[in-house]
Amino acid sequence: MLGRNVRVGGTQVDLVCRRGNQLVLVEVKRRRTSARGGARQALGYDQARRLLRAGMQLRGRYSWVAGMRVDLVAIDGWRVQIVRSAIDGDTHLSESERVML
Amino acid sequence: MLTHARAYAVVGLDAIPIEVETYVSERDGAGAFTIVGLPDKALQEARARIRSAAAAAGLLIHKAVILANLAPAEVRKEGAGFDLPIALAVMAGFGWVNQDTLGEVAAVGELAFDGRLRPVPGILSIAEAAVRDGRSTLLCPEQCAHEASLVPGCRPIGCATLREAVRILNGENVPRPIVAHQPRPSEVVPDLIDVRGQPSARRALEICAAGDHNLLMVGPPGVGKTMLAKRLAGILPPLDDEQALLTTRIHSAAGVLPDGSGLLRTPPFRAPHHSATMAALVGGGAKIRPGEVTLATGGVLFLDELPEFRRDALEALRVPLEDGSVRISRASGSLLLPARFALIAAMNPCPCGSPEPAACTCSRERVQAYQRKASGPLLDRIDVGVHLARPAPEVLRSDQPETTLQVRERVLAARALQATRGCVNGRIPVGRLDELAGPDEHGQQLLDQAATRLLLSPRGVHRIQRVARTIADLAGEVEVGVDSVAEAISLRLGALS
Repeated sequence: MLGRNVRVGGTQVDLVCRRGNQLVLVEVKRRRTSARGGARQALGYDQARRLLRAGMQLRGRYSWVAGMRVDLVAIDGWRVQIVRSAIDGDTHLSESERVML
Repeated sequence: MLTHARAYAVVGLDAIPIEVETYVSERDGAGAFTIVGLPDKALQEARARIRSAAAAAGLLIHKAVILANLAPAEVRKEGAGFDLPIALAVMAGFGWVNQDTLGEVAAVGELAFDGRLRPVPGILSIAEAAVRDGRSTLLCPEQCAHEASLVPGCRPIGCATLREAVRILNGENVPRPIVAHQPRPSEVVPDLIDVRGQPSARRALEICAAGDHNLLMVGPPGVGKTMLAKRLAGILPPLDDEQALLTTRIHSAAGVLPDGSGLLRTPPFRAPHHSATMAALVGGGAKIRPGEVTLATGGVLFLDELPEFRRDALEALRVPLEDGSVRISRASGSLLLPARFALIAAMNPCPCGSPEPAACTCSRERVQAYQRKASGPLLDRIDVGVHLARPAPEVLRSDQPETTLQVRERVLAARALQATRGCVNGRIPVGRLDELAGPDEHGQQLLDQAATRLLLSPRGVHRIQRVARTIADLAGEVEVGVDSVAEAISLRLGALS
């Protein structure tokens, strides 16, 4: 665990962790009910993009980083679900940004 | 992990080696798959096909971060043929494929979402390039294996799916034997017996088939110009080994070869519509593609309604008609493509297409403009011209013309004579013309007279000599006599009047 509520540029990252040589950004979403699509659906395109870009900036702060991913902790009422690699670079990043991943 | 595979890019009729390098930097990350090295749109979309096909083979790569590079970087890469080599290199990055074996083979093929391999165009060119590149083993879609096996020294391995290709590379599967496709019954060429009347046009067609000469047929609509042209393929001799390989390679690279057709033995018969552009006829486009003249190599290019073709398209035919090849230059490069074909053209005497000159309603200017469309320099390259008239009703009823088989026999005999001289009459080089096709004394006299009286160009004289040689060959004569020369001159005049 490297930090909570870390600000990178204009983005706030809920949790920043390290797993091996991988930088893991965690976004926590909570919804009281899953009536309107639930927490997993609450992570929109723009926010996903911001998170990936924030991760790419954060990489520069740590010398050990060999890769990164963004996980999502989705809380619906009492049900907690962890989605690994919730955001994929193919759909959220431009060609030139993808090469930097 | 850095892995490699070998692919080939088809450029014109040849293929050049492309090194596929892939770098799998993370297996469980923010999934991103990038292909660099000037891929076109179809190749960009390989990412989706490879992801899905790999999943079908049991390997999930959607969370991995993968970079694929196609070197040399400045060559544009097109098409889906790179799917298989990239997929194999990626799978090697995951340790699913033995990199050492993969490094020694060449691969080509398009992937379907369920992992099946789909055939791609240009297999012959790719197989040849692979052999030159020192790689005898070519992993390819099973439908392409037979075509690739036509190249000497190439050992194609046909695979039905990506999984099968992987298992073969890892030594878990034995390559399946190559199934030679049943040569599909070649298209039925209509028989010459259908054409009643028109003895002079039939004779002209026979001469052109025997010596690869260019023919122009002039006549009102419906007298049999097109019918005759369509029956030409039946009297032409089959292609020899070398010519067949070249023709097949051209058709394969252009992607017009039907699946599993094997080596093309029948001479191609290309009949482009008169709306064809110059690029369609001689080749071109942003990515240089062979045109109709190249596709007709070894066979016949038939231009029906000659004056309706665009002027620039017709004029562009001059060089290939003379040189037997065409050089296409575009921003993307310059290519020399073969274009050795016999030209058969047909036209009406005037735009109104009246059956008799007397019934013609065209103004003189319109007729002239129409006929001028086939310009002097183009007509100068046409050796044989015939006028077709409306046959009389009793001829239509009673005429019993020869069959294709009978004519073909004479053509083949004449071709055999030419083979002993080592050169088809229509392509005897000017330097050897007197040695191979010099007429006898009387013939020479007649030719000299004709040259001065008819204002023949030197090229015209040469062309008459070649046609006269063919006429003598058809008659089985050793010497080119005065009769042959006389007929050749009259045929040539038919083209110019």
